Amino acid sequence: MTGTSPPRPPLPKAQDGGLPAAHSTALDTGLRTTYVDLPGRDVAAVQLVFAGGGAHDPPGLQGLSHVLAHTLILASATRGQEEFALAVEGMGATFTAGCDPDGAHIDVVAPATCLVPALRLLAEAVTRPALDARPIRQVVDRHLVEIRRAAADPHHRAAQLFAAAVHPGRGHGRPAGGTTESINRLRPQHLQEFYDHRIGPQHAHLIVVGDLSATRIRQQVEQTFGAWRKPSHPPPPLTPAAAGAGRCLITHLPGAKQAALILGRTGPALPLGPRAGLEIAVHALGGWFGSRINRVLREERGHAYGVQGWLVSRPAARGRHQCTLQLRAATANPDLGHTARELIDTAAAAAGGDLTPADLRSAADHLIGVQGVRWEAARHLTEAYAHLVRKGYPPGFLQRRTTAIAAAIGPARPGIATFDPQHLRPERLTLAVAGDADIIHPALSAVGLAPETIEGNPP
Amino acid sequence: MRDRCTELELDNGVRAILAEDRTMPVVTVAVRYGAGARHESHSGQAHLLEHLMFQGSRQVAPGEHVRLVESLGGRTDARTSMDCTYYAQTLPRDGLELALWLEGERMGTFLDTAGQDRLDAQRKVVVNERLETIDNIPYGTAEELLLAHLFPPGHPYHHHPIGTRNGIETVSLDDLTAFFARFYTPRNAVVAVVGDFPTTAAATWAKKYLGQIPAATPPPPPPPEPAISATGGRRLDVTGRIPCKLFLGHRLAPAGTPAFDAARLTSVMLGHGRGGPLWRRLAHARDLVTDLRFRLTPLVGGASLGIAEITPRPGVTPAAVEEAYQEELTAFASDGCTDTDLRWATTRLESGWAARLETTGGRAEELTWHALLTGTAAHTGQILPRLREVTAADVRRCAAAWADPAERVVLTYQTRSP
Repeated sequence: MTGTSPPRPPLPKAQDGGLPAAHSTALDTGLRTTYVDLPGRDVAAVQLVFAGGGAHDPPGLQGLSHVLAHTLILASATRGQEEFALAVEGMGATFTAGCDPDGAHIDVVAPATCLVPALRLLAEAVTRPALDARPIRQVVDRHLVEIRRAAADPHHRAAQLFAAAVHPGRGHGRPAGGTTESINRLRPQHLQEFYDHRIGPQHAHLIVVGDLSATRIRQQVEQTFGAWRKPSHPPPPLTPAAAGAGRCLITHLPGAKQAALILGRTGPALPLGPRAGLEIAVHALGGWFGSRINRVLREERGHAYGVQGWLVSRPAARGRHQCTLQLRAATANPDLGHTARELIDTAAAAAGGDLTPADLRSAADHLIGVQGVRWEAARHLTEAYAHLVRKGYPPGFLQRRTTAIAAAIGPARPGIATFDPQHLRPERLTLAVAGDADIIHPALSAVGLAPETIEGNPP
Repeated sequence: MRDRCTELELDNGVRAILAEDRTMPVVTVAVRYGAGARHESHSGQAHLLEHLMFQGSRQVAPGEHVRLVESLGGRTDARTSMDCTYYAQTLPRDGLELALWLEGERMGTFLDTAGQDRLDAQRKVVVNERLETIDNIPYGTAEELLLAHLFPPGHPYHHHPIGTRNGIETVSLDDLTAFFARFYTPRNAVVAVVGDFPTTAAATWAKKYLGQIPAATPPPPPPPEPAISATGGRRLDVTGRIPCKLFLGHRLAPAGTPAFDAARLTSVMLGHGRGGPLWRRLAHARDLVTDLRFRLTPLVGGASLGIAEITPRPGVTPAAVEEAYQEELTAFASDGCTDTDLRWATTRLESGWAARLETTGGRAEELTWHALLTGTAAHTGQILPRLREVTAADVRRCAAAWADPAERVVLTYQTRSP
């Protein structure tokens, strides 16, 4: 069909996605709270974040935070598993748990009309926990299966390999959920001791998002959590790994038909402005559809279904931000050599100043504008703030980050982000590849790389 | 639904649904075509066309559609299923006119620019998509294997919408343009605009950008599906370096029927959450499983798809779990469910529905699906009342049908010895 085709309408100006404001405060017990009011919403979301995650777990007992968080949502001291599940689900709520390297958390999604009773059940589970042997064993069984499944997933394997390589000997280099050996080592007393020592209002943060005006939510939170007075200790401090030289590493997945690749590094501790500049540059390289690498690898060559790229940072000394950047893709075995070369060469070109003002401006526009779309649902907005809290930032950092990105690309610096291209130099980047080593080792060697095959990763 | 919803039929037959909701400054523009894998003459045809639809039209360069949307802070989505293909973009509200223009532009002028070079790159992208989502991940092949054995050769649901490897590698540009010309016609499209916009402006732009496309003869209805016979309790085994897992494939009632509503409620009882009757038996009382899920895929052509996924506890064999599943399902079908269980399941469906409708994208997806299925988006508002009408007797009948081993396919992933 060929019809008439009206001319293209004017392109609207990209804008800040305009997130609803977050209000943070604290109970006198030390429990920090953040509220985001979304009037008229039918669904509310809550996340209770515990300071410290898999990276802070005691060596040898990795996965302790993960297992504890997942056990807490199953029952309470006054309700067994069946009764607790029926109470939660009978009101239409869901309780889930998670744990990343930086923080463990419990997530609640509930109909707006049931937000207060759902909060009461959350408080019951966390302040009067049932750390009995049976639910712990069930969580452990489930997690052992998941660890074995993940070991067969090339994306997970590449992520583990990359983390271990760029955080050598550090908590962030270990699997946040633990290994088969460490999980098998866990006993109920480990969980009880960990709960007694680490879990308490002074080291937790409650984020509540939804139609809050109807529920007088602050008063309800005080009533629900105000009696929780329990001493606790902060997670042990972690020393970031020094930035090392780049490597090319392989983890072997016999018979894999596609290889998963991660290229990146950790190391630079940057002030806010340069951090924003680096985030824009990584986004311009691989963070969105119009990124350099996606355009070449997917749109021109068809060598990947998609490319991702992002920067993660954590607060560091003297107001700086410890940054880790990564670019990800997966490619059919015959195209591996070319894909690896393309990833590295594109980063090298960026290190040489190849990213244009237009590249950087488009990437910044997307980073800023996408917030309103990406965090439309209460549960997504909750996670946006909780993600920062787990990394050690206050919720207000979200707005500071946005402002810094806008400033880095703003009229005062027309199109030139304030980042140092040297951060992307190829000799500083590590390439982690998960796939069939018998195929990918020669493929990587053929494009001038010197891959090392790492045995036994993970578990 | 809280939206103020207006339905229009444009002069050329495009059905447009305008659902205004000012709670967030975003808008979703979605188009659903009644053209899916079931309409193909060549495996992978519908899915590859979906990819090619982002490769430009008369005034849009290859890849520019997504770049324009994302540069405004939006995101795009596209999905090919058995019965239809769905395209959507969610973006800040100021992008509404651009989004409607982009959809009208490719509906009206796609054929002007479709070229072999664009197909060649996207063919490789789809091969990589297949590897990434099916062939190269644990249990990725489960749905494709179950479809192939639940539906006989020649049935439109016999093959997975992503396309076979051979199909992806051999489909021609002519195959794709012919598919487009036949099925991507205005009368075979439903458009939804959901979010923060004035309805009058959206209606004006919908007419301007979508209503001007020449009308075309609508595609003929697909031929009747071949009869489906009992599977005879077909069993499949796959061995790999992964934990054991069972997948039980069931054929359910077609979407939009009261029997499918009963299947929805039954599936919640059998495989959602931690308070359901089957979880209570298999996980709590008998301590045999670590995970149990039941997921439905609504389909219109004779039968829908239901898959139970069961993960045995370490040390428990798949055979023992399957035997227990059969015992408990038979008992459930015989004893029926309690009123408490029925209320629990209905509440879970209600809250899941609310979460589904929380985003403009979720609402656009449901509105276009129900409009295509029934002819009117207003049917979306009937979902909860219909589910509330399901009785314990309906659930019992449904469970009894699923409990018949001769009507299912059992797929077992076995752990390969080191």
